[in-house]
Amino acid sequence: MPKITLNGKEVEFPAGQTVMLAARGQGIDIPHYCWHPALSVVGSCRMCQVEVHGPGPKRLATACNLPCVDGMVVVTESPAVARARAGVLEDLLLNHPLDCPICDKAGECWLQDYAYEYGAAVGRNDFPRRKWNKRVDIAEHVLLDQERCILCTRCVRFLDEFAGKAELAVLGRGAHSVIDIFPGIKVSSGYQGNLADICPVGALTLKEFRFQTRVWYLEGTDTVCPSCSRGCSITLDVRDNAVLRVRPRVNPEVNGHFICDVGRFGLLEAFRPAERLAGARLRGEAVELAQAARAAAEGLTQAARAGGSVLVLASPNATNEELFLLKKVLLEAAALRGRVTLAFRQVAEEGGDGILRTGQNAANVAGLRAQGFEELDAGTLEARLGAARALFVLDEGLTRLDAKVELLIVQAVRSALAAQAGVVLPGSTIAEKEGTLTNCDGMTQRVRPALRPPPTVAGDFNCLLALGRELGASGLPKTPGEAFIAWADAGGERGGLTLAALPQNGIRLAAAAKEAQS
Amino acid sequence: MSLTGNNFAADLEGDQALAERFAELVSRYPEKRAALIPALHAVQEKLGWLPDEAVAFVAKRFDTTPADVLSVVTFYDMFHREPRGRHDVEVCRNLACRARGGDQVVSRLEKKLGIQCGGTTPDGEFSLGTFECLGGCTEAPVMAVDWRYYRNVDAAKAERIIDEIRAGRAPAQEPRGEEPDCPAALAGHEIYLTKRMRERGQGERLEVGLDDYLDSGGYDALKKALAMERDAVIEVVKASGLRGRGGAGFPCGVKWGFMPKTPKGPHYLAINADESEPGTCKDRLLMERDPHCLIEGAAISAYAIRAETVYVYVRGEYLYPAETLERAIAEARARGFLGENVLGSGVKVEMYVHRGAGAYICGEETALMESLEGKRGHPRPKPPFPAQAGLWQRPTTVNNVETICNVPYIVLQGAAWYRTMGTEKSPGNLLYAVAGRVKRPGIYELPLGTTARRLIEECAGGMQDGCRLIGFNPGGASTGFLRPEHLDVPLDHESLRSVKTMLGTGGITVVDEAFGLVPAVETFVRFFEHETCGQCAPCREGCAWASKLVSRFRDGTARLDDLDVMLDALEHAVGRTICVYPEALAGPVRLGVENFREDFARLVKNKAAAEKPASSQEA
Repeated sequence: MPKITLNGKEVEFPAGQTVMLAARGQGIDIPHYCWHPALSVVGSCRMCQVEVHGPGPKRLATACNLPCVDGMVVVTESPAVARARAGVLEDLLLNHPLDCPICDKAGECWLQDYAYEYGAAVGRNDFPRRKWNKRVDIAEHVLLDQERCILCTRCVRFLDEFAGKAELAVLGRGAHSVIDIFPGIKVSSGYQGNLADICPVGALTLKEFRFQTRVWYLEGTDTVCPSCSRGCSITLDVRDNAVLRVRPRVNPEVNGHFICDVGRFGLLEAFRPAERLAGARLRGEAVELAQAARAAAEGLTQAARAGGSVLVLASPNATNEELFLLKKVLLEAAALRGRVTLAFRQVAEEGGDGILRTGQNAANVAGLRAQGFEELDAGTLEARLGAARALFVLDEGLTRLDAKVELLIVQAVRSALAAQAGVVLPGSTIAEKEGTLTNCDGMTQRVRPALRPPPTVAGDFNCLLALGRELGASGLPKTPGEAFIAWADAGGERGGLTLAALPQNGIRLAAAAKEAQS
Repeated sequence: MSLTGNNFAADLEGDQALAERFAELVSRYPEKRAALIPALHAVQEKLGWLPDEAVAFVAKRFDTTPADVLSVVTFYDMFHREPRGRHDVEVCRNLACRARGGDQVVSRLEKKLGIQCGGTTPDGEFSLGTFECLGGCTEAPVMAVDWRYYRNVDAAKAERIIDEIRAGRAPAQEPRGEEPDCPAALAGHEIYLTKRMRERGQGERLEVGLDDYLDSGGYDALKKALAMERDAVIEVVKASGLRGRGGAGFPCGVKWGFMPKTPKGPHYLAINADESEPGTCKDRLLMERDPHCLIEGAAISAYAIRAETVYVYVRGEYLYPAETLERAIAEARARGFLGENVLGSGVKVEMYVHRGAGAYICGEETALMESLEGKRGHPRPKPPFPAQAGLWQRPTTVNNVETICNVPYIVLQGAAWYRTMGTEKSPGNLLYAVAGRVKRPGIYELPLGTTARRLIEECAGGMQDGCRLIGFNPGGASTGFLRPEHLDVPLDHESLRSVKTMLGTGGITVVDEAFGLVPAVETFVRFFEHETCGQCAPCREGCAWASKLVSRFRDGTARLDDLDVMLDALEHAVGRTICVYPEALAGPVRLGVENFREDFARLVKNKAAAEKPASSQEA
């Protein structure tokens, strides 16, 4: 394989690779603004200049569009490189408003960061700064500050190339260039939230996030978006036990660099609902979880003894570990043997956008299928409900129950059905869970708790554990981590994998791939 | 009925002729998008400007978003986003025109029309504006009405033109003036590029018609070339040493040699007629007066590089040259010099004129290609080079008009003949232009290596009475300013390097004492600030900063260190951008400051004295 010498180290490269990518492969992050790994290369910000010592004369070149050539010698940091970058920064700052104190981007702004690293201490510009519109309403969720903009055109290219419609453009020429929409036609893209992420400065900000917090107060938790079966990798940015921002997490195996607006804006309420079940309830009365679990276990046992069937409607958003535990608790309970049907309501698959959204608005249908939960269409569901003596609903989406069942147990965060239920078990939101989800392509990824549930809420996993204890089950996994191991083992080759060691981009597990035999 | 109360959208939708025009334009290109700028011209011709509805209409026709089209529209100076008067009056505001009284023409017109520059008369008859170099430097000042040029305009003539148009006369292309002879300088020198137009130019436009062209051996070179192997044509051009006439002087034959020998798809020849470099007006002369020479050269060149399609990218302001060329192309095609089967040889060469829309940067070859493809004129990063991936990612050669016009003569008379003219490394004749306050401004064909003194003093008859030459610009804005002691430097690619500049296009502009060197530098800096495409941060911001700094010398607010800050601001950008635009500005500014620092310093000192507070004077 051909090689380049990068900062004194020989590095092999595949044909056609740029110096930028070769450097990133070595963990060297060359400063840049306009370059973005998911967008076309324009080479215009000039920040990624590096020193090329050959072949040919010693020179500066932009790493983003410099193809590696066998024998090329590249130095990414040198006095000449630093001068070039300082020059670019001086130019970019000539007309920048320097309103960092009121800018949402401050703290994660590339202009701040690079200016700190490479910029001159003192500016030499004594002309008034260029005046542009500081608050252009370009989209439902996004505002544009044209003064902060450095014209890297990432936003323009993102909409054109990724979202598929050139709704933002550079208007004008030269120093009069400005990013804008066509008059009266706002950005309609269902991926517009990404604009704020890819903007390296504070020019594009989210209305939802504006002035909410300084970013350094945020704590990020890497998890998975539950808004559809794509299961995009995301980070939840939390302050004071509230999700203030949802960001995509780069995952070439699942979502690349971006997420849709449904995932970004649509779930903030769901992560931490204003109204939720505060704790366990028994026939409408607040009780301890153990008491409710005991009542549920007794009810289920009686139904089974009387020869009735028990129908369990699992949540399509439950983790694999919860499903595993649910299965173990109910199928292994001697009292219930042969009486339990594990099922879930069919999740429609329609209206995918051909980009990321699959059209199947649930996070773990693949996990349900892999663990052998039966998929019930509307007709079958009705028939099964009619025949069931006891019904255990973990499905938030089921808001109405017309059929009469003797025993109704509901485990949920908040459910319209809870009022009808004999037993209510307090579940967790997706932002409170630990475990894994399997997406539409069979990638199993880790979800992590970003929020703490209210103290009286035990959460899904613990509710199921409590029920299991009351049903006399033994050898139950005590944590999601243990459940993961047991689940993965049951599926076949685990290879020493643990929940904590799950690869960041997810993994294809045998357990998630095949229909379990139970 | 639209919400805004106008009928633009319905007007455009219902215009069958426009639809047919669009279809014809689209048929000229392998990709529809390339017809975007011509289509915008067509819509603007109809409406006078490009309102939102028009932009949206064009976007729909071109299967893209209005924002995308607006981005193109706003890149080019000739597209208007505000309603304009029935007649568009533009006065050139670059160096040669300013030096000869262009600013006074503007003020008189403002007074006459009762509007400021950029405004429109209340009766909707006239809009007035200024434009960067209109390519009429030897006929300065130049004013255009609806892109019909009027030359040697003074305040009185400008008023007269307005009166005549008000009285009902349609703006028409003014008769072309004969280029002045320069017998003393020409003695002993062969001329070829301008020979035919001097001897056979006819009518008030002094144009060489097809019959005259043929009668004087026209298209013989094409016949000869078609009988040669393609590579043999490349070889003779290589042997001739012909260097590009667009400014950089790259050897033409070598450039052609970069084109693949076995095409795996279409090749293209793009002829650069975006002549916009201040001081440069020779390509306009060639297109207006001897269009068949360009066509013949294009056909030969296309044959050599295995291209079947030639696009001539003509700057939008050159409406008349574009029309002349289009007419000549149609004639040539009708006589078999272009078309599916050129002169029965089985070789195909189609040729199209493509009008730009007002952007100097489109003379940069990769920006030209972007613009031709219907986009903003942003230069492309190299590699890939045009010969690898040019127009529509296919191998493309971009040559200047004058370069191509040399080709028929070289093919017909051979490389050895060609090398009898000019210097060893810069052979052939060049169309030098001399502009500014000389007695006989004009375009003079002389061998490369002629000195500026000879051009200015012998050809152009020296400075006008009462004018003193304090400096000169040897070859267009990007070549900076030299001092009187540089008048004897031969104007060729090698010699000019010794005085830290380059030949450029050979368009000389003299600067006289009354105009002043600092305003001349300022004019060029402002030009570059106006014309930078703006994609690379250092150039976009650096040019604007430099322009603000240099304007302080006019305002009298300059400090001495402003010069150094300005030079440094430009140095940021040199060698650090996608194209060489910052070099084109920084080089001449550096040279101007180096050669004329005392002129700048004088302006600083005056201010310092004036600003001295009264109390300190007393003390």
